[in-house]
Amino acid sequence: MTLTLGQIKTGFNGFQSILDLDKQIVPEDYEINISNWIDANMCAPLGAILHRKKTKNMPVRISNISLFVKSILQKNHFLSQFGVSEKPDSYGTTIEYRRFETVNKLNAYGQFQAYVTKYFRSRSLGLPEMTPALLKRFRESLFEVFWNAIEHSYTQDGIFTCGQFFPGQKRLTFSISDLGIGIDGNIYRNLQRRLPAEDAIRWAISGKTTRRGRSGGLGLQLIQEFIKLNQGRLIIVSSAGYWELSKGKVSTNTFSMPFPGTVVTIDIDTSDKTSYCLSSEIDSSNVF
Amino acid sequence: MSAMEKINIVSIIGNSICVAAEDGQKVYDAIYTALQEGKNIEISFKGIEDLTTLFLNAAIGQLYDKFKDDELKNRMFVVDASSQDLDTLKHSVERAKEYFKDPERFHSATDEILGHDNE
Repeated sequence: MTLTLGQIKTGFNGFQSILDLDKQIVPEDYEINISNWIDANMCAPLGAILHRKKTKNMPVRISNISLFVKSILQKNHFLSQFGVSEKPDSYGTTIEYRRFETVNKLNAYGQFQAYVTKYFRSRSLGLPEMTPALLKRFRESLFEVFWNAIEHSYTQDGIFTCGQFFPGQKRLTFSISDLGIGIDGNIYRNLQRRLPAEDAIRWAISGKTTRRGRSGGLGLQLIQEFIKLNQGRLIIVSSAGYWELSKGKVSTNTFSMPFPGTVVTIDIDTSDKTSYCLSSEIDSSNVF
Repeated sequence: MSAMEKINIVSIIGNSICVAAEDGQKVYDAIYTALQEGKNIEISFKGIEDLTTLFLNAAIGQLYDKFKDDELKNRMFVVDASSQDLDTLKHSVERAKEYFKDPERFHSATDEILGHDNE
């Protein structure tokens, strides 16, 4: 049987298309038709869903993929898992699709550090011109999100990442997806409180933490401030909740069926020259 | 006058990417030991490329559970920090001070914390 994947752009409808596919795949022999557009960073949540199917003995095959999309997904190695050969990316605008095994947390983190270093250092191939301050904040945001996924998702299936540079539009988009218990699941597990998925995301953004004995909860709060200054986009999908900050405005939505984990997408304006010091002048002699 | 111990973060963790809580714990252990020995501490941020609050919450934030705010203010000094790293440090320190005054407030999942996104 062939299923057609709807257009997948970074946003509520794109995630809905992935969830529609998730719902339709049942234990049979399936082919997925990818003739519609897919934003490269969305390979992270799509790859997570397809990996989950594979671990449940529901492998899928890819068919009828448009040449342009195929070329991008060969360059970012997404299609390798389906036996399609990789293609060199001479412009360096794709950021490789990766699945990080999380059985050993420190190994996963070490591998993610190497990955971030490869793609997001000032000399990295294809990296748009960005101020060092912007690039540093971007990298630090990725580390915060990745570590949150390792620490709080309780995933057994790894963490999935993918991104894309858009030199013409001066944008950089990156998604990190896990197949864990979701923010709502984490709150329930640790605080025994059930919150609707959308409220659970707001809880996390507001600076709360489930970790005891050490201050925390700052990561997402500071990323949110960073994205506001950049006039970029931050999207958090967790279980059935959808939360988006775009050009300083927040919107939320709810899916009819949950995403089986959490996805954080960061989309920045690479031409922004803001200094990214979020507090006013700090005197180093008075920091404590 | 107390002896001054110099602690270089990058040297302790052997990496300029200071982002993992586990690495932050190594820095915490060094600072905690020196403070317990009655030394004052100069913490060098020299050579740091990336720095997260996760790292700093472990490396420095936890100290606010063991020592009084004023004591840390009088006995710890920061050198060689970029303005961006100082900014991240300031956020982590302020959060730690607040957290250890009333940890439960940060774990609560009551409706009052579900504020207004656009505020």
